[in-house]
Amino acid sequence: MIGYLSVKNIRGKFVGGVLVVNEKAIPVEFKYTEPVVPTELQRIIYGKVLEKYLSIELIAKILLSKLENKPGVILTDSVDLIEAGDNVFYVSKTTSSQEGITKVDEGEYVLNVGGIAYRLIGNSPLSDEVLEELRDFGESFNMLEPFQRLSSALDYICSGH
Amino acid sequence: MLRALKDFFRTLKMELGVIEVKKFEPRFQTRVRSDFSFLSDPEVRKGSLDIVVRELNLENSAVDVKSVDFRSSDVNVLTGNVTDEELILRSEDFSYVRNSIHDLSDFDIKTHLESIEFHDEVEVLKHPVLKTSVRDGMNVEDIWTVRIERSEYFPKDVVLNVLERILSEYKGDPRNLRFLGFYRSVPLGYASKLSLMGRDLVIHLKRNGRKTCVNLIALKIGEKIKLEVVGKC
Repeated sequence: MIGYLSVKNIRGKFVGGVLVVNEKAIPVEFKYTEPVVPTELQRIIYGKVLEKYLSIELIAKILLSKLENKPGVILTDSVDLIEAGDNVFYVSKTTSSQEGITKVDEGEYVLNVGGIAYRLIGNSPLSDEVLEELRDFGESFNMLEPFQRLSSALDYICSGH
Repeated sequence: MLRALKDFFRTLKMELGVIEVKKFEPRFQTRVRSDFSFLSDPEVRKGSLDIVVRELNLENSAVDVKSVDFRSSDVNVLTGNVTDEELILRSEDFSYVRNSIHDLSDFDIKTHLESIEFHDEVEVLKHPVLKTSVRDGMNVEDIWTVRIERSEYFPKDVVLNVLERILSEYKGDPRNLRFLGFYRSVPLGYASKLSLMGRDLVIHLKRNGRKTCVNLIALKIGEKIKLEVVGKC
């Protein structure tokens, strides 16, 4: 299983979600937070740290703590969110001529699978087992696709359905 | 005390010749209270602070300072713990405070925070705090809608064989037949509906299904779209 974590600021509302998919990219679990709208006073008091505090402490960490399934890796589309957990990795497309998995640095990898190269950045190394799982997944699926689902879902939640 | 300080900075200025001491002097006064707001989950507290700094090491020369006056607007405490009567700040928080006292920040100062006390007039403001609640979202339809981009890389011989077969079976004008794309790893066992949106294949997933996974090609025949399985994944 692979987790996808995203926190968005949609028209001033902060909302986050974590989607866990299986090896066929089918949803296994999806948790989201109710949108949070900071008051003007809270914006003043928190100042510049507001967005980070909300995203990491109040949304991401709580979401991860509530997950019933515990994926080996949680991918995120925001580099700030790697602070939310040791197995949270920022993922983005990159370019690479080297096939397979390349360890760039401690907690940083390039996965060139399925014709797409991805860069993963986290705070700690990934186990061989998790890297293998990511490679298998990436060979079949676009590893960034679940973020689209997550993004649409968070938009929907913020729209006050 | 103040005289000693003034003397110290006067001589320092003479030695270094570049430090603007005049701005610095008025900051050292006896105990000064600062109005202060501090947020601590789940409360916002407001009160006055009395900050006492006992040590100030200034480029290897130690100066004993009783109090440092700084304006509350300069102070931004990131985190801390508030108990009923005292505020405990971690040293890195105080470093931040120290750096925000811009008149001092020109110097290499090591500070040792001895005490910070709230005064009697501490007031707890009834203010909504930032909090979130987590919901289960398995019923949100968007997570069950997958968009698969058409693949640029595909096994051409396999696709050509399938196209050849379709062409041989097709009775209409071959010019009406158009290849739209190859789509990898389509979770067909979970698909309740497949459609094309632009160049993407959109799949609506069922909650329960089989793990059948296939590769597809999409063809346009006249006005109709045909999806043809070209292999398992």
